[in-house]
Amino acid sequence: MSKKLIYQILARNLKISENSINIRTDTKNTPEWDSLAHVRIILELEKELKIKVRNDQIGELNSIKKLIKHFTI
Amino acid sequence: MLFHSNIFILYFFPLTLFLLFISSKIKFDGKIILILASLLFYSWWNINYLPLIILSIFVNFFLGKKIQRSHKKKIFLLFFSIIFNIGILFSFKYADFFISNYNFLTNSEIDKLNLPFPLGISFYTFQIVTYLVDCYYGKIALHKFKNFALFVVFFPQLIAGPIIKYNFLINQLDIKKLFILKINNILKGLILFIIGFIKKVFFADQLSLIVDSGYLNYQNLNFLESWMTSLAFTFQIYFDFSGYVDMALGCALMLNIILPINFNSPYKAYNIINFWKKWHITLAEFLMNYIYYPLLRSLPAISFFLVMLVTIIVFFLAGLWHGPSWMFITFGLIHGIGVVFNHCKEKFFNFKIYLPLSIFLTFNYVNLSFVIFRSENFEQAFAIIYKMFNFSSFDTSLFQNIFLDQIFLKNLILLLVSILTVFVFKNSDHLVNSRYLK
Repeated sequence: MSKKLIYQILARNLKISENSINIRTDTKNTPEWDSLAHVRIILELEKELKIKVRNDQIGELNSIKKLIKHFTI
Repeated sequence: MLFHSNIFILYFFPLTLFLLFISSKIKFDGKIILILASLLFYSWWNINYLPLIILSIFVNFFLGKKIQRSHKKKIFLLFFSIIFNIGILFSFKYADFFISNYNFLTNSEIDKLNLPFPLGISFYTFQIVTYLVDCYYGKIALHKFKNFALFVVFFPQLIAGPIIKYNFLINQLDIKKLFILKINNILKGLILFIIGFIKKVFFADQLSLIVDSGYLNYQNLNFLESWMTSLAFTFQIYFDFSGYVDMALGCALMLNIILPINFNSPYKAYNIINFWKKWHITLAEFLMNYIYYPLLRSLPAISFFLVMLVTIIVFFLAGLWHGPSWMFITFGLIHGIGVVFNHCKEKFFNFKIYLPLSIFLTFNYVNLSFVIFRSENFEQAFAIIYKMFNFSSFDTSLFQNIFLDQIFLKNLILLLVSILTVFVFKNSDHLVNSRYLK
């Protein structure tokens, strides 16, 4: 469930289709994933999944893999 | 000591490499050799800066340990440690700039401190800040003095980056693997070093001749010469900085240590946001992780306007980081405005621009910003920019006599080769990691 939600939130904030997101999606290979979109994604995920992200972790959660790992444990 | 100097290439680096690999044979701790070699490298230029960096190592190692072990005073200790480090950086690098601005604004006559500017202080201060923050979050596993000293003084990246994190370096310092001769790494490192050397000596240093003479005689430049001067600097700074970083990465790789890339074909960027994902990447990441995100998180609510304001503040600081001058600050602000413009375009006018055109526009925006960066004052910068857009000074006789004017022809060829190299070839990271070297 969380995984699906992460994909949805990512697609909405990056303004791309959910189908174009896969497990290898990250900030380097997705031009739409800039710093502004990143902050929005993190804040929305925190709010929806009620899991906190520390300041030092924000920049580190720069791929779908890392987001899933952080928000689904 | 500079990477492209004879002393480094002929004596320092081969001897360091030799001692390190010998150390693994006789079971002597290679980290000590690397620390001593780095201190020699650092003090070669001016030994007077050595006490400051050594003091910084001792104080910050002690502070880091205190932060990690503390419970109640953790945040206070972190705050104090960051103020301590930024205070040293401020005193040596920015105090006189603020004093002269204060004197100008209030008509006062406070004496300047006239302190020397220690080499690499901006780089190692930022690295130490990342270490202290990692201590605060309990991320430092191998908290050893030797590791920390090496993290601060590691010679390949001490003077001009890339900025790295403690764990990134220390996790690679496994004594068993580190100082073993690996032919593939030696070969790749050597190629990177040679690419960096060529960028520095055959491009940057040659382009600097066009730049220096253009900026010196800026009042007499015509349309074409002003463009050649500005473009020459834009290529010079890229070849100089990225060449130096290539040499740093190459040296580290020969020691079996991988450093992060700092430049990824930045002039092929299609907007300013994209440019900062490719130019001085580790500085951009530092500013993002340690200023931009924490500032945004401290806001009660995040609106588009506030995010843009924070962006401008971060780019103001990025400009100031380059040096104590209004020209650097303006350079930072121009890039901040560029990023804000990109975000506004995405939000309010979401239209696509033909890719080659967006690369061309971005490159020219960056080129204009580098005129501000290189100029000594606004009068010089505006004069050059004015000449770049003053078509009436276009001198066609230059083309008629192009083969008679040898210097002009040489400069033109150098610029054309620079343009080709930057826009057509792949960057050094791609070349080294190509399938031919696997």
